Amino acid sequence: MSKKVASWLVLLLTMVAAVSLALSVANAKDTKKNGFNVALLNGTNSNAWRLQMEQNMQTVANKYKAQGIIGKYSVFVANNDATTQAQQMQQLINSGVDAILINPVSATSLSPLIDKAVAKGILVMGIDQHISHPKVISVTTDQYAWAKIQAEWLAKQIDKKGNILQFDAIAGAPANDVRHQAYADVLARYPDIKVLKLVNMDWDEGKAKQLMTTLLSAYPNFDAILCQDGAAVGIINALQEAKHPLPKAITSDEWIAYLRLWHDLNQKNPGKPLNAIIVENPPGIGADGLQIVVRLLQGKKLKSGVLTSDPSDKGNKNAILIKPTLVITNANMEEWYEKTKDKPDTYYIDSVLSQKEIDKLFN
Amino acid sequence: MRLWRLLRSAPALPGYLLLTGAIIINILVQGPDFFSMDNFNSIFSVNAPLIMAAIAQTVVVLTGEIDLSIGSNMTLVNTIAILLANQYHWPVGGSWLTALLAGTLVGVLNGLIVAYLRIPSLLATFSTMSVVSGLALWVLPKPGGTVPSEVYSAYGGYLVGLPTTVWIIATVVALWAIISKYPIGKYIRAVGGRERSAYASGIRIERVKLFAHTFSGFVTGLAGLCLTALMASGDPKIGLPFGLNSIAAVILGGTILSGGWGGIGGSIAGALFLGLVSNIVFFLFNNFAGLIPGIGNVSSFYQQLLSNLIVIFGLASAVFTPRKKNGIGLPKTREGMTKDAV
Repeated sequence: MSKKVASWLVLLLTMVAAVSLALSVANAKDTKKNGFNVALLNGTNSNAWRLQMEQNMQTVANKYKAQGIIGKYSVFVANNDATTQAQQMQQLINSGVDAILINPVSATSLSPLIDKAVAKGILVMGIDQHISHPKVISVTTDQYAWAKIQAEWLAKQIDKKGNILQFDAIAGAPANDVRHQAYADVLARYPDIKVLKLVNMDWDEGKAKQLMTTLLSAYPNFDAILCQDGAAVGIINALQEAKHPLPKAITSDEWIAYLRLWHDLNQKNPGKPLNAIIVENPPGIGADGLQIVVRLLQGKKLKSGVLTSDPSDKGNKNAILIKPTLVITNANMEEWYEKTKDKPDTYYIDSVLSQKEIDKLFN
Repeated sequence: MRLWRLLRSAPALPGYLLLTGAIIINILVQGPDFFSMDNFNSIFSVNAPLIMAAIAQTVVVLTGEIDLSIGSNMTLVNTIAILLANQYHWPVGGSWLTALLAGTLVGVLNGLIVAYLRIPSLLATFSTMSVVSGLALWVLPKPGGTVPSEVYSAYGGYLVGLPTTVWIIATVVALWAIISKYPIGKYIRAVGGRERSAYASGIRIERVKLFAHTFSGFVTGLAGLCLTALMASGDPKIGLPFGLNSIAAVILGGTILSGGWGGIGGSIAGALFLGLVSNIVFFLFNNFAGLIPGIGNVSSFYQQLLSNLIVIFGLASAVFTPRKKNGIGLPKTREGMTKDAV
């Protein structure tokens, strides 16, 4: 290597070092602690539900920031890549935060890093999806209860007998498996209800539509459709295109677009409304988690009995399961249609627990 | 300027340049913490699975083929290793070796289909991808299982002063360097460079392709084990992003997809580049996002935008891949390129 190149290299490195040093001094001044430093690791933000979750959390964080309770709140997304999330977690641990909320890419995969974080005194909490780790509290919607409400309702609508089609989401995804189990447990009590066919629609309404179109040729005589969220719009569209009569009953999709489709259908056929049910699976769960984290950071203690076991992690008592409360049927559909009129089509029926309701969880 | 001349003719040049750029930016946004051994360790331990996947992909790409099934193969290895150790209580060594064998077998299967049934690898590995991820789901239907803490501590720890993962990567690189010295190493590039000429010179093309896929399957198996050690658990969907990311790393590293030209050095640089991009975006938003008013409310959009823009910029620079024998430039003629390069 010639001397000239070498001297240039040295110069470049010195400059880089100098700038980085200057910046780090500037950073050190910035991170004065007025309050807690809380971070959210979101596995993905590429769907409307997760975005709404982020927005809800941001609103709550801004409120806490204004009160000085939270000093810094940051969000990192991992593009559904478990290693990216691990890297973000690693860097958060290194840079020192008070609490990390995680909506994990993979529910069990962060254990070594969680061990590290807990050893450093960082509070780690799972939101929306349960994390199997004894030292991590997860705040999730009670998916078992969610699915049970729907299956029970469906059974009642068809007088406990008949043929149904079942749309699950992704085999292997924890929420899907819990819901699947709840459906199975309820249906086991009604031997006259027969599941003609079970399919997986990957929480994708386009795929659900395609599947429904295919199913129509093989199973045209069904009474009702039991499906998870993400499918109902596609199913109804497929039935309409095939000019097939709508089912006697169909279960949830908490998407506003569906509520509007439902409303329009009823407007067009006033004598024969669509018999549907929406059970909330609120993106507000993240904001609930954030409120709980802040109270835990403040040193408040959870009431005994608040912590239960998640169905996927029976060995640990580390879950706060929030029961879905909002159920929409034809009885209150119009009311909710009016209430959400100004929301975009991609909005989800949502609720965040109030300060009071959160306080009830604590001593 | 001898160094420059040497670099200029190396196929991996764009990969090295990109990596250098990423390192400089990373230092700028992270500060002096970058130079700590713990930071190097976390970069290598988190990115080792992708680095290995990129090496596996490179070997296949050098023969002019492509392997889409790397991600699902890593998942299969992960699920088998976890299932045998957790549910059937096999010793960790035995279950991990079995998993490695399974990964290699998937490679053999790919090789047989591509080389002997003559189905284009794009189609062949696309279908094995579905089959293998189905198998993984069958092996372990839902996330779970653990790895003994000694294993993941060792993986994330140090060995003789260097991160364990650096040793693992170095071993694979050494293995490939040895293979490159043997005729088979040259044959791999020859087949990718120009298959007909290679055939005319008496190279058994099927065997070369079978070997490349088998070796790739073996390294993919190692990648899956690294992933298992990193995550310390099993998940039937965990390997999903590695299929495309490994291809991106290969392109970033200057290996051309039509085969024959490139090397694993560039791909390692490409994989590290991808890892550093998420690091850069992390520090950029962690340290500076607060300074820009208003950005705090929607920062997660910008993170995606920024990291993907950087990657696109990197991929676009693959145009500068040196395809002529002695320098940068667009190819005028395609020569039978069989230059040794690691």
